Parts: sequence; C-alpha cells; structure tokens
Amino acid sequence: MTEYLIALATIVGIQVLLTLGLNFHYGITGLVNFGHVAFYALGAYASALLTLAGVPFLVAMGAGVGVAVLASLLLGTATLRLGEDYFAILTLGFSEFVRLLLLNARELTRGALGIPGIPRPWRGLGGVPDHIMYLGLVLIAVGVAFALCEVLARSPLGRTLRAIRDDEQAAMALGKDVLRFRLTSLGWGAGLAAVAGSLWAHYVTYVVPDQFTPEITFYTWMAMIIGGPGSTRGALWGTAILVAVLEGTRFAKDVMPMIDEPRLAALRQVAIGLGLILMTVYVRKLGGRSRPRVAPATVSG
Amino acid sequence: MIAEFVHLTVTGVLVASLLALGAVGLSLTFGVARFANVAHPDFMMLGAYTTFAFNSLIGVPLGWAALAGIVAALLVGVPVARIAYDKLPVTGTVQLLIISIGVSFILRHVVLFFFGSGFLQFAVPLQRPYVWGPVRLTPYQILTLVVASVLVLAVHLLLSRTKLGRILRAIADNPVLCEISGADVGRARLAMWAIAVLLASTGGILFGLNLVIQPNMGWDLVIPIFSAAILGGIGNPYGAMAGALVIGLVQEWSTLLIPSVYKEAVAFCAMALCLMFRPRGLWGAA
Repeated sequence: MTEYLIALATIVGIQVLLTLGLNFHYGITGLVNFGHVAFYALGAYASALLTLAGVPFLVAMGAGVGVAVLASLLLGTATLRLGEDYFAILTLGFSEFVRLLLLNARELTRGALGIPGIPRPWRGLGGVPDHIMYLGLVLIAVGVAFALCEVLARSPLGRTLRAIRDDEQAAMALGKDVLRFRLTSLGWGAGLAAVAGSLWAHYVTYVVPDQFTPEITFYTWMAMIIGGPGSTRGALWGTAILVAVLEGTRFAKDVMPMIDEPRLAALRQVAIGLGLILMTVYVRKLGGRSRPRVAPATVSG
Repeated sequence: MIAEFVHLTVTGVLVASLLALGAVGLSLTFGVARFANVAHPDFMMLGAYTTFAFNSLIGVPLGWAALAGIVAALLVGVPVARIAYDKLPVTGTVQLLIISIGVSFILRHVVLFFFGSGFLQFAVPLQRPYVWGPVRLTPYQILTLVVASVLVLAVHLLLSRTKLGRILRAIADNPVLCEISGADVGRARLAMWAIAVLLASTGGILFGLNLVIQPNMGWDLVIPIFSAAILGGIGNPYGAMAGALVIGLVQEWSTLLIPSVYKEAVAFCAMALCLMFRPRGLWGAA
C-alpha cells in the first residue's frame, strides 16, 4: 500500500509539471495548446536516448528541455500569428506529427518497440530505497517549478501575459510585442512539459510512442480546468483530483465484474469525455478565470 | 513511372472525394457555428459503424444498410451535436472546441464498447477492377467518385439556390444581423448539423466500402480533413472541396519520394506551410 501511494505521488508530481506548463500557456497567456504531449514526448525521448548514450542525467534532461523549447519556438513562430482555432488544430496536428516521427524513425527510436532500460539516476545513493529517492527528485522538481511559476505569474512578465490574454489589442497599443511574449510563454510551458517527460522516462524506464497520445494533452486540460485556469495553486490540486479519479476508475472492475476489460476501458474513456464536457461547462462557469492577486512589493522575496 | 504516377493520381482523387465529404461539412459548420468541431470526422466513423451493424450483423443488403445507416447516424449525430454545441450554456469558441473533443471521446468509445477495437469489413463480395491502360478502378471506387461528386454538387445547389442556403450563408457572414432580420437561426442550425452528419456519414460508408473500418478511423482523419478545410480557407465549403483535392493528391504523390507512413505528416506540413504564407487558405476570402 505504501509503495502504491508513493507511486501515485510520483505520478501526480510528474503530471503537475505538465499542468503547470499548460496553465502557463492557456491559463495565463490564453494560448489554446492542444499539442502539449508533443513537448512531453520530446523531453522523454531526448532524455532517454542521451542517457543511454552515456550522458549524465541532468545534462540529458537539460538537452530534452532544449529540444522541446526549440520545437515550441519553431511551432510558435509559424502558428502564433493565427487565430486561436487554427493554433489549437495546428498544435494538435503537431503532437500527432511528433508521435508519427517517433513511431517511424526506427533507426533512432526503435519505433513501436520503444526504448527499454532507461536508467534511474542516482540509484541506491546513500542507501535510500529507489522509489522514495525518485519521489524526492520529482518533489524537488515540482517545488522549483511551482515557485518559478508563482514568481513569474506575479512578475511584470506575468502581468503582460495576462494583459495579452484579456485584450490583445490593448496590449499591442501599449507597445508590447505580443508575438514575442507569447513565444516566451510557449517556450516556458514546453520546457516544463519536457522536464515532466524526462522524469517520466526515467521513472518507468521504458518509453514507447503509445504513451504519448493526445489523451495526455486532454487529461492535462482537465486537470487545469478542475483547478481553475490561471491559478498556479489550482494546478496542484486539480492534478491531484484528476489522478485520483483516473486511478479510482481502475477499481471499477471490482464493482462491475460482468463487463470485460476492454469494454471497461472504453466506458472509462466515455466517462472522461463526459467529464471534460461537464467541467468545461460548469466548473469554468463557477470559478471563471481566477486571477492571481496583484503582487504587493514584498512578494518577490 | 508514368503508370505509377497515374495510379497515384487516381488514388489521390479517390482519397480527395472521401476527404471532401468530411471537409465540406466541417467547413460549413465552422462558418455557421464558429468553432472547429474536432468530433466531425467521428460522424464519418458513426455512419460506417451503423451501416456495418445493419449490413454485417443483421444481414441487410449493403444498399439498404447504407440508407438505414445514414438515418441511424442522423438520429444519433444530430441530437448529440444540437445538445453539445447549441444547447449547453457556453459561448466561447475554446469551450466549444474542448466540448467537441469530449464528444469525440464519447462517440469513439461508445462504438468501441459495442464493436470492439478491431478492423471490420462490410459483407460485400470481392470486386474485379475495370482496367483502362494504367487506370484501374473497382465498381465501388467509381461509386465513391459519383456519390461524392453528386453530394458536393447538391451542397453547392443548396447553398446557392435555396432559402436555407441563403440563411446559412447569412449566419456565416453576420449571425446577429441574420437573427435580427427574422431568420430562424435555430432551425437553420438544426438543418446545418443534419447536412454535416449526412455528408460525413456517407463519406464514412464509402470509406468502409473501399477500406476497413475501426473506431479510431475518425480520429485518424482529423488531421487530413482539417488540413483540407483549412487549406481551402476554413468556413468556405467550396474551398474545402479544392483543399481536399490538394491534400489527396499531395498525400499520394508524396509516396513517390518518402515512405507512405508519413502521409499524414505530409498533410500536416501542407497545412502548416499554407497557413504560414496564406493564413486564410489558398482560396479563402480576404
């Protein structure tokens, strides 16, 4: 049971990083990113491949972040000038494009076979059990990312991003380079997703393109919507609730033993679709976009 | 080489006619309802599966099964679209976009629940192709081309010659003005969803006639269909037909140069390139 809870906490932590990134994109900047999983996948694969080639873990993770940020900037430069519908579809297309590349660039990624044997970093250091050690690592990453997000959201940068979200024209009239600010936001969120991807790869020690379907993107959207878009703290508890619900439905087979496994999985997805719709309609309406308090001068310390 | 090129061109036109049946409806609903309905290709999947149910499970001959399948798809698809997109208390395009993803999830997995995730085929006899030099076409492929052309023409006539078409174009132009001038916007939207589901489900049946069907087929068509609609200037049904032709041909021709597994990626790249230089599509209104 403790093992299970530790595993659950690790998964929540990794998912929180994804949610924090998406919250930066949509919640704070208003970018309708439907391809978040692409940055997660790039971070995971880059980090996995480099570690297996003998590069130290932190360097590999950094390289994964670099790849994802670069990809996000390229994607953003091409698409951020367009309307939000176009941006949404193009990012969704981009994430499928990345998955297709991972699936078919067999020389590099082994395609559908995936990459096994990705080492966990600092295994057995100081005699701490492996999974507790790794949870610690994830928690440190979440703590740092959370603090950075909070600081950034209250910084002049965060205020400008929210201004762009709420009224692009007004921000432009005030002389803000809207495209550049949006690119900054896109890159930052993509970087967080890549850190999550790297942590995921080294946690499960095996990556395969099937892990990076658009479902991940929409789970992240749900987590963000539950927590309230724009709220960094909401990203934490929104993710916790989402993972609890997703995990909880796994036990549904104990309640409904007459339905076989694939059908139960299908029912789960139907419930997830319904949940997505109901939350979009009702939770957003209740909470609206929560705005962080205006930063007093003392918060930065 | 020339024979192969001709063959790919024929295949490309076939693919285009299937994509057009999805893209025209998608473009129409985008123009009128003002959001990108990600679940639209799932209406194709729906039509294919309702037809499969009548044809292979109950044993109705394919022609009647297709008719029954289209009616069943309308009976399921139109209320779903009306409730999810017209009746829920939301206004923003982003919310509708997210809701359409939820609808896509639900449709796909309800079908998966009943039919399983495997590949399925209609109960039709194997077809002997007609051969004219390098061109080989089976009767079903000819049927596909004919049905797609007729339906696309019908949409054109509907939009240009009927009162409903005028109202739909007016809503796409300016919904508020249209409502003030006394047009029944609600009824027009109901008709629009019916047209969209009709076109899509027919496309899905033709898809199943030529290939195999599976619950993910709609989702797999999201990128090519959106590429076709966007290339043609989304919201412009005529552009969508041309966009479908470009995507179909480019996808098939690309296999001469790069492995065919990247076909979908080619569609995506064509769309991205187009948007970079012509943000309103190749033929989009300014």
